[in-house]
Amino acid sequence: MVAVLLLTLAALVLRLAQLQVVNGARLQQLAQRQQLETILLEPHRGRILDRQGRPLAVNVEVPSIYAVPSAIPDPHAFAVRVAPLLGQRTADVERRVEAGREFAWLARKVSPQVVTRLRALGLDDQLGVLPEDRRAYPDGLLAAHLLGFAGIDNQGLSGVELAYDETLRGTAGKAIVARDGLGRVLVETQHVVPAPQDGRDILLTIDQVIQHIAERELTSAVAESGARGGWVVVMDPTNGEILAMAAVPAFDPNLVPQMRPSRWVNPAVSEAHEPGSTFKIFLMAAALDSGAVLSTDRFYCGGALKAPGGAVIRDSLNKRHGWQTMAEIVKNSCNVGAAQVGTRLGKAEFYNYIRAFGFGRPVGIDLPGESSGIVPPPSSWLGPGLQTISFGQGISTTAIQLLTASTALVNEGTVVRPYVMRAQRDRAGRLVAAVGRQPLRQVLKPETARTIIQMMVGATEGGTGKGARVDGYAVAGKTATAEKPAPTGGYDPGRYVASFLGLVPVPDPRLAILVALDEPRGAYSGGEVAAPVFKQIASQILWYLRIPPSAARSPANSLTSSPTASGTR
Amino acid sequence: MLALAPRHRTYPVLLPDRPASERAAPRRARRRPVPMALATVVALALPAVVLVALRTEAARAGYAILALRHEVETLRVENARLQAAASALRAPDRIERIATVQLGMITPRSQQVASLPVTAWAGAVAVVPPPTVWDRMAAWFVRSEAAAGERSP
Repeated sequence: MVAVLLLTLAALVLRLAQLQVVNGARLQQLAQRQQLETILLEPHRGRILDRQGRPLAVNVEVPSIYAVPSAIPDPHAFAVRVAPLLGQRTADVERRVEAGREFAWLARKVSPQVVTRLRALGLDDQLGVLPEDRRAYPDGLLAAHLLGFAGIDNQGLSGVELAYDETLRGTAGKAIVARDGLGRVLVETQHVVPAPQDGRDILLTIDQVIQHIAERELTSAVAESGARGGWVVVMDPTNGEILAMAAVPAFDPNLVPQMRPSRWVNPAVSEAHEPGSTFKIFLMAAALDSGAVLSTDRFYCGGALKAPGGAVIRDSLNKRHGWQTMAEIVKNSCNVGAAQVGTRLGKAEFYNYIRAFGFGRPVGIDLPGESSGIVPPPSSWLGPGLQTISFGQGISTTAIQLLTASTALVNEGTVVRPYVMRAQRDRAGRLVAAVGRQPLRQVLKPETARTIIQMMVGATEGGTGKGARVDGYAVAGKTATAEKPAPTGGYDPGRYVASFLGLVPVPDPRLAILVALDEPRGAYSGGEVAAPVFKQIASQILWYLRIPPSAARSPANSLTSSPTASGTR
Repeated sequence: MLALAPRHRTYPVLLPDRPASERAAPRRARRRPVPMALATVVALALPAVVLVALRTEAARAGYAILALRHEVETLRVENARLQAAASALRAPDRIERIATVQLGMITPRSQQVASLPVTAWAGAVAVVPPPTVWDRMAAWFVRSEAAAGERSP
């Protein structure tokens, strides 16, 4: 009896040794594989906020539906029941179910009502629901072109969402956990390696209110003028911060799949057009700064000018301006005068200044899809090339390039880089990165910059830009009415881009605003359709920013002339 | 004289001493066998019971943590949803629509906006004199930080 007991015990000991020692490592691994599970810990995408911290893009948790194909005995019958509730075709659902084994997405980021209806089918073992973050843009159309949008997997696809995708996205983490018999995570077994890092919040330079003002006025102007579209960019020219960037027609980033991709393009950054007469201010700046022309020099405009190659340069409506100073050329937006200044300046010198201002290459704004514009080399300026480029024909620029170049006039001749990301904050609200003024290069002498601004003030005081005058403030600006190239070559006489580039308030501009309307109908000149939009936008932003009126204004336009208003700085 | 030889003789034998345990154990076993067994069982079982209790408590705490995590996550999601809703309600476009359509308000014209000069007194920041020695003494006595910053009347 004792011997049997001893033998049994010995056998058990041997078996124990086999399990624990001989096969111990392998069995432990097997057990862990069965009991432990690796969970992917998804990070939350960072928010996008305006400069005051107001949310422009946030995350909202929504349900996503998946199927468990191994638990579905008849995929076709399953698809027939489920597909109508998901708004999908039966064949699509069936194909997805047949392609998977343990998991197959059926619909991502659906409404809670869809989940309720699916649950009513009683297919709990065949269907599952996973919560996922969905990007939401609470202001709808506001700043849509600038913000861009994120895709189904929360990946940035356009605008700021794309430009700062890495920062916003964060990094996923992993956790190894054991589950109990009911499938619940046993917290005490959880081992996080590595922890997920939520994406950083991004504070933009955009101001929600300024953006709204710009969009409202632009939308109204496009509707009134019958234009195909338009764009407005508002910048702080002292440091390059973009305060607003609006485009019409806009799109709702919450409804991106229903929009045509052409709507997503941000025209202010990605579309290059001939600048037209706004380019004259850069011609004048180059001519004065290089010393090729003195501000007191006079040029004769007889309404037309014979240019090299036999071409004849004419002014709008063949107007004859007579003898003009450079300031008068800007004020009258005289093509003939500008062509003569360009001729005096010369191709090589002009080209060098054009490049220094930042035309013909990306200015480096932190947005995707920036166009370089087209600035052909001087060797390609055949015939009247120099003369036409002098008044903004034969080259193309983006709105952001024009505004960037204008910063040289405000900053004593130094061009500053435009930017839209002001700072980054981590999930706890700590500031982790900040961006400030980024001077690019000195293009002009300070006195040249000041002279050009005075010329631009003349254009709004008594020239083509009168419609841009803002009561109580001195405005420096320049209109442009650029013909659009015809598909068959040359220019299309019925299609224009009307624009206005302005700086306000002079002498210390706080705002640089570019307004452009694409193919306005009826009145089409920049002075008639774009300058008034500038006036509306600038006046409201100046009030909003509490920028007091300038002292030097004509009595007719001064606030002090109003019985209800008083006081200047 | 004859003498009877002894019929038994005793030879001394040197035997090894028995260990004390062998001698004592039967006596002790005989004295208290049940309590000893119980004590042994308790001594062996108690750590195991404590271990099981601790494990159970840890599991219970784990489930509590899990429930709290779910609650935190639910609240976070709700907070995010409310923030999004609040942002949508504060959208300038919506506010302007309500102001103009429902309340009949209009955007002020330039003549209706006044820029008032900022006078010296309006922009001046009130200068708070530093506390006196007496104030500091009083603060020390009442041990109040607030009192140290207040001027005596």
